[in-house]
Amino acid sequence: MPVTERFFKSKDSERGSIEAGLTLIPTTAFFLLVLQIVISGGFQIAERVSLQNVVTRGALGDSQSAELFAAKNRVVSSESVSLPGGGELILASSEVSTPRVTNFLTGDPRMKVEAIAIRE
Amino acid sequence: MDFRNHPLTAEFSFGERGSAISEFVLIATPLFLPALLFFNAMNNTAKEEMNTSMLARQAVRAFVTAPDLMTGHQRVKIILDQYAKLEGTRGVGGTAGTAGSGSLGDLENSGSLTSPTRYEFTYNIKCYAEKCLEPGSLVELELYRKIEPIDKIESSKDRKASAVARSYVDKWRDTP
Repeated sequence: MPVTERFFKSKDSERGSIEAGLTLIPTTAFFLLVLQIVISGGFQIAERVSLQNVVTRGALGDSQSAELFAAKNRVVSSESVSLPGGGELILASSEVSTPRVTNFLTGDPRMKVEAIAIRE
Repeated sequence: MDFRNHPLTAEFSFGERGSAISEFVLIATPLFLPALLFFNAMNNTAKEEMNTSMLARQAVRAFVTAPDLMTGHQRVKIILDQYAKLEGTRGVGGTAGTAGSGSLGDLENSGSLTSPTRYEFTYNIKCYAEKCLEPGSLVELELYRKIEPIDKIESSKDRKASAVARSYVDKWRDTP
């Protein structure tokens, strides 16, 4: 009897299938966890580039306009420190919420980024 | 060849019954956990490289706009310290950068902010002119930062993020 025929005719062919399906639970949890890490990392990079862009432009042209990329619950803070020899150092930090892809995370995932620039 | 009837393997059971959950725990988890750690480490490394690159650009800009070498090193040190503070860590302490005197070509001035934490910065400044801050000369800054290894898992303790930034001294500035 061929192997395939024996497989389909076997009375035990469905044994363990539900249990095997249960392994999808941790697999899905792992997938969502990795997806959350990737999305949060992407958001952090986008926020970092955006914040650095704004701070550098502000330091060069004294622009006050904020053009950070769209995200919710952003908290931005900045301060300046005078440098020896003239000029000042602008320090900015931003904390932004990232999308939550799974309810396994109880809290609101937030990413913090920093940027600096020299104003002469 | 049928291993079931082989005299050496006949004692073993070839039944396919088993627990899928236990198989998952025994086989899949050891594969998934390193993958998760790898993704985390990769994200961390990319972040450190971006930070170091940004810091190097700003530090070399601060150096070339300084009135003299001593002040230039002070400015670089302040930038690195303030950034470490901004991250909520301790970056101050240890030895300050050694400010170079009048340098001959390719003389390197190095400084380090030695700290027991992972936020250890090391920088080298290379000048391509006889006088480092002479108008129009090229200055190169190499910045290194230690990357925190994952405790008890990652064997390499000496991974560093590095960045190189170059800048010209303003041609219309006063000669120091």
